[in-house]
This record gives sequence, C-alpha cells and structure tokens, in this order.
Amino acid sequence: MRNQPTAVVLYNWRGQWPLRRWEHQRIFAWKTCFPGRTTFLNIGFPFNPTWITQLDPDLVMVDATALAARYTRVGLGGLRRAMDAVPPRSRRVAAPLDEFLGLQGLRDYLVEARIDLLLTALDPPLWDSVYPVGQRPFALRRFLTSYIDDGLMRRASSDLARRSIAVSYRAWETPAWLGEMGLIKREVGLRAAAWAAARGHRADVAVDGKRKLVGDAWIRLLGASRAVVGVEGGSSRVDPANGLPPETEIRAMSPRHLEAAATRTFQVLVEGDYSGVLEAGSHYQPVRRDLSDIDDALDHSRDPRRAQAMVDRAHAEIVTSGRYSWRTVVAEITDQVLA
Amino acid sequence: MRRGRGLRLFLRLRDWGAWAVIIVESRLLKAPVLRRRLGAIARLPFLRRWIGVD
Repeated sequence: MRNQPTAVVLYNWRGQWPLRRWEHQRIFAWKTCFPGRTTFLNIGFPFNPTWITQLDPDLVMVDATALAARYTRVGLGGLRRAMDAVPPRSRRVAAPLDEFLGLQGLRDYLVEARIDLLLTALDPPLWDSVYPVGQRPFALRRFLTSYIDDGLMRRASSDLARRSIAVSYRAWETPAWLGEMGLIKREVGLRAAAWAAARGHRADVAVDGKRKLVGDAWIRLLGASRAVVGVEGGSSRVDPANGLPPETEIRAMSPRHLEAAATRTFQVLVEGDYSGVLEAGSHYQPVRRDLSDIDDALDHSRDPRRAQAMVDRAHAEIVTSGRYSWRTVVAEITDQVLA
Repeated sequence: MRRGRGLRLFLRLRDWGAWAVIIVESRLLKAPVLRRRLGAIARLPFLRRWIGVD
C-alpha cells in the first residue's frame, strides 16, 4: 500500500483568464491542501482517458466546471470518457454548485458515474427533494461555494475609517428565470449607488456585468471599500420538470461574502441564512427583502466604532478560526472518503 | 513509457500548455471579427470545440 494518497481533479476550463479568484481556488486548493499528490486534468482540451487509468488515483474529484458542461453545448461527453476510465477502486467525489440548472441531467449523471460523495451547497432541508433518497446511491455533504485560502487568511486590511470607497458592488445582468432573487441582485446595487449619490459618498457599483473584476482586483476593491452590499446566490424559480415545486428557492452563500469577511469589509446583506455561516447582526447588517431599510443599514457603515467591531468579529469567527478554510474542508473530505 | 512520474510530469506540462492556450485565447479571441472568422472556418464540431468558438 502506498503511503500517500493520490488524487485527480477533473475540471473543464476554456473560459477567461484570469479566472475569478474563488473559482481558481476551488480547483487548485487541492494542490496545497490534499495530504498527498494531486494531478489536474483539464478535460476542456483533448485527452486520453487511459491517463486516468494509469494514474490509478485513490480519489477523483469532479469539479463544478466539469459538471456544468451538462447545460452547455459542450455536453457531458468528455466527462463521461474520463469517468469511464477511472479505476473501480477509486473513490469518486463530485461538487456541482449550480443544481438549479439542468437538475435532472445532473441526477442521472451522478448515478451513472457512480459518485460516492456529493458535495452540495444546498440547505440540508432541500436535500431529499432535490436528490430523492431512492435515487441517490451516494452520500451527501454540505459544501460552501468557496472557502478561505491561506493567502486570503494572511491578508492584512486597513481600518474602515481609512477606506476611500463608501460602498462597492458587482452583479451581472440577471435573467428573468432566476425570479425575484435575480431582481434583488440588481436592485440592491442600484439602491446602494443611490444612497452614496444622495449622501455625497464615493461608490463603485456595476450591475450590468460590465467592469467585471477578476483575480485579485476584486479583493483589492473590497479592501478599499468601507461597505459592500449583497444577497445570497441562487434562484427563486426552478424548472418544474425537475420534480420540485416551482416556488422552491435554492439559495447559498456566495464566495464574495467570505472574501468580504477576510478583507474586513462591512457587509450590508439582504436577510437570509447564508449557508449557516453568517449571522445577521453579528457578522453582517441585515436588510429586509423589500430593501426598505437599506439606507439605514448603509448609514451604520459610517459609524466607525460599531462597524469596525462587527467586521473584526466576523474576521475572528469566520476567517481566523479556520473553520471555513480550504485546508480544513479538504482534510475533512479526504478523511471521510478515504477512511 | 509515460507511467508513474513520467506521466505525472507529462500531465503537468499539458496543464501548463492548456493554460497558455487559455491565456492566448482570452487575449486574442476577444475580437469578434477573429472569433467569427475562426467559427466560420471550423465547421467540424471537434475543431470548434478545440478553438473554443462554440
């Protein structure tokens, strides 16, 4: 028996460079955090499936980018060829983070690929309806859309009072089929910009998908901002073909909320569960879903003592504690799967 | 031949090569004219996928 476990991470990337920071971390955190040797295979490029057979890994991690091909024109052909070549003894882990898209295709594929452990960002009460017990021959484990990497954990941040931007925000032009949550994503940014304009503060807000920030640029913006607004990620409408009630809401904390905790930025967020990580009033300033109190909430960011105390508490409990670090979660997944 | 360490080294180089292609694509294929031209030339699906115009 080998001393060190081996892992293969399958991902599919033919998109932009640089990647968004959290996307890069999710794929490559395994390199530094897995207690053994990790090989990465980008199946977006031609590959020979026998490479995977020859590597004979103990663990195969299927990243969300590889599973996302199910709802694009690329399709799951490449992933199928890769998974068919995985030796039977290898433990298989999959992490889809966008279950509200192409759910039935995903369910079918997870069974076909003989996944052992599914990492899901869904709230546990939704598990049985999204993955009915009789149709899931795999274990489920809660997985955040992102965790904190070593670089972010070590990052130093200036005091809120010294930051030049009053509020910042980025959102893409959300499609109507995301329902009310898609609308709030846009509205919360517009309201924050209006608040800053009315009070003569500087804002850096874009809600049309333009001025997108990738790599460290987004972290630098957060670090220069006193406050950031936001809402949980997900969708408030699901395709009835998936067998779920149409009004089902699939929500999860977005990576940006952990990043804001790491940069000690005051978070003004639409009230929600935030995957059980963020606590309203303690880690962020909550706002009602109709955004009627967003101006008052943003005004709290101008109170240096109160706002600084909140961001320091969020940093201590979420970042410094290590509970939500890549090191912790990769070690836990490895223990669970290879035990 | 490419077993063990050799295969892992080969896959690492392949991954770096893939990232080099992605960076070049991100820089050059942003131009709509170039993308359209390439899309028109690459009729075969596997070619379209290879140059990332699908």
